[in-house]
Amino acid sequence: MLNLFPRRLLDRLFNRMWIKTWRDIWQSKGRSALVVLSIALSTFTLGVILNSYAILSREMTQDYLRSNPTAISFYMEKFEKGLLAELKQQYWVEEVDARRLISGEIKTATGDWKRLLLFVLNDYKDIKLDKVKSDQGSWPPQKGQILIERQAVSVIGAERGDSLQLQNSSGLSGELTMAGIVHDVGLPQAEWENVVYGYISQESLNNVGIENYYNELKISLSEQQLTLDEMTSQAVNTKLWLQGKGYSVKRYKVASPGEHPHANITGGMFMIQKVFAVLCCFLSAVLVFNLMSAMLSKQLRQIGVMKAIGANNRQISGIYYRGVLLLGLLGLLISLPAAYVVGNRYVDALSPMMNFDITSYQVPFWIIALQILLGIGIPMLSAYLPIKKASQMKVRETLLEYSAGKPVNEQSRFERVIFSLNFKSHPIRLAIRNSLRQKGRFLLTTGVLMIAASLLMASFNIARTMKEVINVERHAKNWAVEIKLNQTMQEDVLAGLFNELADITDTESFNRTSAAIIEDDPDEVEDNSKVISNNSRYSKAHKVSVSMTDLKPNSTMLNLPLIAGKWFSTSFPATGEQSTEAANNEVTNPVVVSQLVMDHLPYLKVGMSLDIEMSGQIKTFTLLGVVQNIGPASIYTSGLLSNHPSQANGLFLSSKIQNRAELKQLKKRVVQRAKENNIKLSYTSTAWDGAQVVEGHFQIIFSLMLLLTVIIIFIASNGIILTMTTNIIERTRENGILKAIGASNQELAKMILSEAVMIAFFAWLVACIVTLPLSYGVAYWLGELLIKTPFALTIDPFIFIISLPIMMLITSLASLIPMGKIMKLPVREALVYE
Amino acid sequence: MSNSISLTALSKSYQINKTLFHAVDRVNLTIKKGDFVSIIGKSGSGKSTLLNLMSGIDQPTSGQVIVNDVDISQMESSLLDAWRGHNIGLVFQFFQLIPTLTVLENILLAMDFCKVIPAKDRVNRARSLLDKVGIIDKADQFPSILSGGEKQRVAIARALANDPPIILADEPTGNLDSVTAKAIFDLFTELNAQGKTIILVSHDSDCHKYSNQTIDISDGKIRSNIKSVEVTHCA
Repeated sequence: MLNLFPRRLLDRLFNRMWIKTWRDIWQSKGRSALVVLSIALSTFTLGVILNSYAILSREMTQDYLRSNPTAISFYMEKFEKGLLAELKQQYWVEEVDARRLISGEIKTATGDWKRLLLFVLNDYKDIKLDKVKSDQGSWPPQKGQILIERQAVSVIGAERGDSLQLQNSSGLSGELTMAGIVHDVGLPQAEWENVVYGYISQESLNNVGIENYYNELKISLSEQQLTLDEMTSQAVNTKLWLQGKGYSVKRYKVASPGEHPHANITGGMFMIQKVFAVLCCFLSAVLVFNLMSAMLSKQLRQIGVMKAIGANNRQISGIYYRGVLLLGLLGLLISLPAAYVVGNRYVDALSPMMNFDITSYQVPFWIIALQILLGIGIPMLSAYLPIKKASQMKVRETLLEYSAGKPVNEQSRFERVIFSLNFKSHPIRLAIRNSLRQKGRFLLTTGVLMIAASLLMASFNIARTMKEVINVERHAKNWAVEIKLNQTMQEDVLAGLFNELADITDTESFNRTSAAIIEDDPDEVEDNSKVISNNSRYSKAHKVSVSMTDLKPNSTMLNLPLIAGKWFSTSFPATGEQSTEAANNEVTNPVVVSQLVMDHLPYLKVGMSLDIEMSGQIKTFTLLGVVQNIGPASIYTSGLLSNHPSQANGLFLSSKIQNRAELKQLKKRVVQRAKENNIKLSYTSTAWDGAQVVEGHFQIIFSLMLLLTVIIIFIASNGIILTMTTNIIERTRENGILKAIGASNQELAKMILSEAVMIAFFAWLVACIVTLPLSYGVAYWLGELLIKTPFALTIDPFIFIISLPIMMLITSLASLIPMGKIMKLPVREALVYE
Repeated sequence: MSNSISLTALSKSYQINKTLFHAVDRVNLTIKKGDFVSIIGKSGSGKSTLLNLMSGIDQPTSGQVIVNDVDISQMESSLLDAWRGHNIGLVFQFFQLIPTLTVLENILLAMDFCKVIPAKDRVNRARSLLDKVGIIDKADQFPSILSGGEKQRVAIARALANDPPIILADEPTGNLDSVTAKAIFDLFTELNAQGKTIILVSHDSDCHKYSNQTIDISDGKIRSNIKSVEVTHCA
């Protein structure tokens, strides 16, 4: 052994400085374990997030690239297969493919109708672009069969062999058998979008009453590594080429090079986790800082002695840096494998949700290196100041500084205010003074607890905000059930059919149609960051596809939250100066748009005119207002759409019923009534349906926030235990004196608990203020992420009240261990404690 | 015989509540190599401050401290610590051993810091020093289980670890009973006989019996400096 390793190396490895370091850690093993746990927990959290992010983003991109993604998609009126061969001969085109896209509705296992996007691929055996692969069952789809995208299976709730009913207002109608499940990686997540993706053969088109032709042309470019601008110019060239050949191109879409269409959404999801991971690292850094400060203040005399016998500053620093290094390494020893295992499980849980396959769990080296760097670097950096301060102290200072009863120095204004509070109990007064003796430590500990308390309050504020958003969404609809017909009907006939239905109190007809807002520059092309609706892939264009609802004048069926401008006047003003029509007619053809329209056309301002294409005609409207509406991009007009005022294609049905289950029953009865009267419905929903879609998402976000808050509270609790232990140990001799002059264990306990409660109180007090901008920021960000408009923050007063006792309980519990130790210590030992 | 320590107009003052307190007041003193000097005086007389100034633990307000021809009064703090390790062995009243290291390791630590003794020789030297002070059997024990006398012997062995020419001891017997104190004084005498310069501070009036020079200090000033040719070894 000795021959294998140079003696000098052995001596360096096992010299007394290392031994001292190790024994110092071992001597305060409880506190060291807390720091190791905190480092481990923060690097674990960071590791899980970084590992899963690295795997998910890589695998998502790779899985997407394996599908040979389309560079440019052209949405056209109609074209035949012959166009493909001709286009492929063009020098800039590498590959071409064609599809038919039909939108409609599909009936679920529960009898509800869900949104359907039906794809008819050119050749299932030789898909050139945006490859779809078989997951289970039949492949390719045969005549009379439909294949369902694997994530949409849970949306529709059907099984292989089930007969599925399809319909739309353009003639799609019929039943197909679900014969298999496919995977289409490039589509938005069906579960999130609450949409069903179906795949049928050209032969099946006859079964559902649809003419066979293509309407979606896909190309990839021969020149690789093009920028988005270069690809856009290729798209314009191709569009001109197609128009030159006599084809009508409705719109086109350019994909971001090499990036999954929803990479930005996934990135947004990880943002919140990254923020928490950084917070965890910060909190563990504070813990290490506190531990090192406490440990070094206890070691001042030893430092003095070591300097007296010849140690220089570097050697002293080395001893303590070794300690931090060991704690960091121990933390990493726990966190690295744990983060790898949990990260992989996390990836397993998320990948089906994001709808792509994992082929490798390999974590890039830089991620591991970063974890090691942070696991060691953060504690080292946080220990830098206390170690520097202690190692640079002069021998005389270190030998004199060390004493259990450090004098209380000159009081600050804050201390004078606190000390002037007339507490009758002397132990409580002493406890307050004690907690302020180490001001830096007090501030850091209170700060850590404050962060935990702020996050706790913010989590519940966000939960309350989300609840309120759902509530607003629900109450934005003054109707109970909404039906949309396949055709228009005489509105009084339509109303008469449902008016007499039990529980229906009122009805009001409307007209709904799909429309497109025409952007100023027809050649302006959107990029993937602009998401206009939940189905971004098929509704992004320089013509913005929207759902247009024309309400009855004076309609009170919608009460959507106003973001800007105003809603249509619904009643005569109190002064009686203007009529409703006069109020609306202040502007020509007033229109109100939802926030998703504004997200896509951010240049729009209230009062601006906008051209809207509907039923082949373009009409100019004036923007009256912007409303918040969870759902697809929508626009609303008042009494403008129908050329025949007595005709309608939709009906709002009001009811006193509020309960979700009862509303569902009412909806069934409405559908039944429509069936009995041979009315084909293209869409039916209850007032809760829209809210229900977002409710699940909100629950996941709240659970995630709460989980991360619990982790941070745990780290903060470690900090409290550490601080309280250090405070109490430092005052061992003082406590011995107090006992010697007659203080009972009960009095000591009261003092220690008072100190803990005071830390909790100050942390809570500051947290009550800090949580307000924090909650506002999170609500703003989440709103922008989820519905493209900030959520209005709703405060949960209960959490403000309840978090004070929670914080007090945490600090009191954290004090129990050191309190027990000091109570058990005999007076004699306490008095000679060094 | 050349000078080991030379103090010239050495002063150390402290400001306490706007009052200037002179712990050491314009002291001139020369200690030759191989001397055994005891500094005596009442509590607060300035004897420990004087010793701290000689070791470089404390910096003078004015004056000069020359130890082995090096002016340490102007030396930087960071250099001073390393210099002290090489040139001075310190013995404290409360032993000041590192509680988390064994007796042997306490001595080795001093050698590790200064690197005067080659790494391969350190363990043997530490053992030989422990043997010399009579506690070789305690080499692997932790200081907490040693008696006061044993701890002070470890402290003396540690002071000798890097073979410094000067040993400074501040109240080395202040915490010991008379029998143990005598044994410690005998140890210092033996070290002095081997050529070490010994300077010890004590309020023990008996210590002058072991030294060849006794300095009586009061209010920071030397009241008497008595040199005796022969050192009395008390039985």
